[in-house]
Amino acid sequence: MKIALIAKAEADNPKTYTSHKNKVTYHPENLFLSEEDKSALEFALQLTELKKGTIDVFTFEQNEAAERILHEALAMGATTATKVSAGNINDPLLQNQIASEFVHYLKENNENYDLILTGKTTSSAFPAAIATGLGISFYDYVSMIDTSLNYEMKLEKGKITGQCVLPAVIATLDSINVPRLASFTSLSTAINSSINNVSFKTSDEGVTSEIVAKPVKNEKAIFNLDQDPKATQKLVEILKQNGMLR
Amino acid sequence: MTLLYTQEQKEYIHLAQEFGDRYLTPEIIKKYDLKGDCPSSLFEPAIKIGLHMLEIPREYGGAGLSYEDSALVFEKLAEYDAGYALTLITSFVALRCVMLAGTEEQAQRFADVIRPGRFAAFTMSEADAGSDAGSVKARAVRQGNEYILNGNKAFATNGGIADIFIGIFRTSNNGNHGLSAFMIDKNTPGIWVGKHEDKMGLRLSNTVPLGFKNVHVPAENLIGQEGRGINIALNSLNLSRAYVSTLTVGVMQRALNEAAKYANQREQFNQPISQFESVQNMLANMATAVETARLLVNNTMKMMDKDLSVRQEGAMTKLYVTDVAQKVTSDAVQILGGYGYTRAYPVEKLMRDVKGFQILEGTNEIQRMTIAREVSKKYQD
Repeated sequence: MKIALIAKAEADNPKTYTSHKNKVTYHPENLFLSEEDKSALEFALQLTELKKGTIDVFTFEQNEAAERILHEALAMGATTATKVSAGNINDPLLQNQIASEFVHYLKENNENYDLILTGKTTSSAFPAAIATGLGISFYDYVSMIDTSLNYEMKLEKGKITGQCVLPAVIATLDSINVPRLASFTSLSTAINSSINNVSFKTSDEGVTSEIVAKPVKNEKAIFNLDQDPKATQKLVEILKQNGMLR
Repeated sequence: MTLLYTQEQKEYIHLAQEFGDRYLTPEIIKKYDLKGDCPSSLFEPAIKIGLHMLEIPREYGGAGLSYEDSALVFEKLAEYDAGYALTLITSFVALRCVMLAGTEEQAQRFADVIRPGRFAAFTMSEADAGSDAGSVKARAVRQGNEYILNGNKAFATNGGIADIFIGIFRTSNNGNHGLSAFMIDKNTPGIWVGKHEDKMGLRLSNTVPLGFKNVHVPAENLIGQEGRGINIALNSLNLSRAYVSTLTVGVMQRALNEAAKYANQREQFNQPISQFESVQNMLANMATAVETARLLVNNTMKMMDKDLSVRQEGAMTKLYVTDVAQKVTSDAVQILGGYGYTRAYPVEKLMRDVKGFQILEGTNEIQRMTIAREVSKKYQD
């Protein structure tokens, strides 16, 4: 069984970025493999242990985070590791281009994966674009999946159940399993292993997006019920905005 | 932080942190600290990822990390619990002693015991022989192809959970030079294990008295030669001293983390207490102490990786780090105030834990003697 994993850094971890006056600064030294991708990799390992196969890990992260993520994946048991240089994967305007180039790369290299896994962290656009480009099924928000590929997909008020049809792209949540920890021996081996490097050419014309932090509100609201006839109304509005009143 | 970690070191530390977050939760640590217990099952996850043989070379089944890298891993682990980390370190330090002083066959035999997940202990101290190793009375008498061991040992770290010991016994009445080291299988008839000590701190570290009554040990279990026991013990102490220092840094870091976090949250007189100069001074002193301690430990580990003698540097590191840790952990309790004095917060445990490090692996008074001796040698005509 041939499995590919698209691995990402832990994006929504307070240690990985700081914000000051609406400017976000990423800290690549704190970026490690995301929990969702670890769970996806654990699932892939369980499949290959049962059915024999290989797991090729790709990451589109840049700088030192990329090597770190790939080392972790190799240490857990992945077969090969590839760093893909293709521009900023977090930029929504570039994602489709990168996905398209990745599909082109897979086809050119006859990489016919039975399963492409990715842990769910950001938008569905990227894995969906890959599935569309390859003409295969896409399963999103998978909250449970077993080695027979019976899955559950979370909905707001319920779930969808079924069995995945391969080949497929599956985006999983971290609830699917508790991933194994790598050993120090395997991590030491992984650190000394070679990592493949692949580059895609993408155009950055028209790319103007940037990440802006949510402003932190520190001001206290004071409601003088005696002096302001609308104070009660204002208080209720603010409580509703903060989800404390329905 | 002032220490410039390599990419690899960051990855090792991250793995240690993942392990600690998953298996050494505050609830688990608190539970066993209260009980003063350390079931072997608690260490199974650590053994699974190779923490029990971190620094041991690959050919013996270890992960083969350098002293420097393994120290950083154990510093991180000690942030969760120093007693837990001490248990793992004691095993591979004992193996390293056999590797340094014993035969290849002995080292392989020792590694074969601990590789699958069993523990080792090193025992020298007795009721009347602590700092004064020359007062060891437990005897080993040669009879044909074996030695017969008799005597009692005190404060054996890992003694209650180990499957193999390195024991220091007297083979002649020649003071320090009459001591010899032996590999002893726990299952040898005549060994009794006493009650786990109810210690003030490091309560997840197993510490027991051991008794040996007519324990027959094959002659090939003698490590090195007769009379070389004190050298083997000192080698062991050089290693364990350095690791004790690294554990202390981990505890200090935890104390700083807890104190700084609390100081930013706790408000008195309408402001966080971190805004008060007296608290700021304490935090500044704590942070400086942690960084200097870490740099000192790192330097000693680098020297060990280069096979340089660390008799003086190891003693200096242990002395400085463990002494300064008393102030750091005490200040952490002070910053947390009344709550810091209760078990509701972890800082009182940190204060209890670091006290032990001033005593074990050679008291700090002995470290001063060692340092003074080494310094004097340099200035002798």
